[in-house]
Amino acid sequence: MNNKVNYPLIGFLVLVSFFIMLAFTYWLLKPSDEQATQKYIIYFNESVFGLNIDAPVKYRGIKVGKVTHLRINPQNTEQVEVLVTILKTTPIKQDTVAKLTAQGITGLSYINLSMGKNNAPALVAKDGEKYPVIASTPSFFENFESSLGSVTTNLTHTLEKTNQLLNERNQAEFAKTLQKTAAVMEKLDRLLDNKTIAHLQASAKNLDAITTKTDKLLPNVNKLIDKSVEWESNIDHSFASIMNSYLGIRSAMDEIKRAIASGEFNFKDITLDVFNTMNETLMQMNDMMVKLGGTLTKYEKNPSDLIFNSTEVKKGPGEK
Amino acid sequence: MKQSLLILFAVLFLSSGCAFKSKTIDEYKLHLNVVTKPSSAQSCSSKRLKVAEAFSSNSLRTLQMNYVENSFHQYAYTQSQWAQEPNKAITDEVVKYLKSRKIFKSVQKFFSRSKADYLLEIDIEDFMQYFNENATKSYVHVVIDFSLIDLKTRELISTKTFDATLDAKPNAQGGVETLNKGLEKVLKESGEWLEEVCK
Repeated sequence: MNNKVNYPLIGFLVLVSFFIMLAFTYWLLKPSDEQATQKYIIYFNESVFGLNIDAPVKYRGIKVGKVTHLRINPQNTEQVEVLVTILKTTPIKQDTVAKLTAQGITGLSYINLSMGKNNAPALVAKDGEKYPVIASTPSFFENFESSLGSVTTNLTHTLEKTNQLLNERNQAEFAKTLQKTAAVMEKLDRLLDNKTIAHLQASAKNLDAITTKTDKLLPNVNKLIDKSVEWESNIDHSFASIMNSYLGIRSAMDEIKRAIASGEFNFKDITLDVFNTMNETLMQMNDMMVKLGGTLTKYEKNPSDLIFNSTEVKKGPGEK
Repeated sequence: MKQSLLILFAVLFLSSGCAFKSKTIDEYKLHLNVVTKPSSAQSCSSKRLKVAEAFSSNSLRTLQMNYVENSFHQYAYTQSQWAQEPNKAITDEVVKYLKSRKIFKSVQKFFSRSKADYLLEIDIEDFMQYFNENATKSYVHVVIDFSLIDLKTRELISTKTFDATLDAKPNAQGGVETLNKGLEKVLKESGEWLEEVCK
């Protein structure tokens, strides 16, 4: 039997086994990519009643982290500083907001992250900040509480106004108004007897008949309107032509006016010769008409004179 | 053939009138011998006068020489006529006479292109030879109305009617001679009237 033990080898194997165990443990405990986290700080301006350490942090309803630490903000005692650990894979953007949300009727709360546009830049820690700060919004209860206060104030104000409105004088006036209304209603009731209602019904029927006729008439009216539009268009066109003509005439008149004013165009001088000639011509025509009249009168008395000259002529004194 | 004969007869028939000879017609014109003296009126010496063609009845606007018998019947001489329409002839004589009187700077007919200050309108109311019932005696009656008008204001400056009634020989020539004399008388008087107006 060989009792010779190789101690160095055993020592070496023990050390190798130890390192293998350490490596296996590290490998076993090493967090996966999905489990890598990032810490964020959220400041709430309200009570975080029901929010505990390890309370879940959800993003759009999915649990993505937990509350790691809670304390009053040393810089602002009206705020609660909540440190949360969130998976790095969670898309926390600059416009992401945190809201304290009640978890059922247990009284426990969790933090719900919402919003965060897809194209918004990722939230990073600013200079001087240890962790990035997620903005917070008031919770439902906070909103409800503030709204309730506002509603209460408004309600009180309304009640005061109502009280002012319903003073004794206004009540009396209101009573009078009611009385008058009752009187009017009574009169209306008397007015709307069966006969009147029958008349009203007849009127309604007539109105219905008129409406029917109007419906039949409307297409014709539409045609008339179409014609009118066409006519109006033509008139517009005509007016445009008239306007153009008028502008042309006015331009010509302006030119004539200018020429007359400058002495280039003396209408009187130009027309003087024409008028004189026309006067002479008219006088000659007048003479001719007189002679023609005389001749016609002569032949009207005896048309045969035109050929035979048979009228007996009275000779004048001293004529042979 | 028939058609040609018909046309020939028609032409001969219609042209047969050309074969008649009418008697010679004497033409008379107005010829005045008015002795004029230079005007002494000064106020119109710078004024220019235009004489309008005389207004008259149609009987004085033809060459036909008319006469009135027994105050009512108007006839025309068959062998005598005017050489120029009486209304034009009288207008010409007035122009000629007023030019010779030199009352105005110039005297022009109405149709002259020259400008004028005054216008003289002539209205011949009568210029006719009258006979008695049996045409043994005659006289002429000349009535002419003159009106002087300011051409700038178109206002009537003065108006006057002149007339002359003179015995005449009972024939056309005698009538013309006496009408000349009557017109001379009227013109003389009108000239004096214009001088009076222009004083």
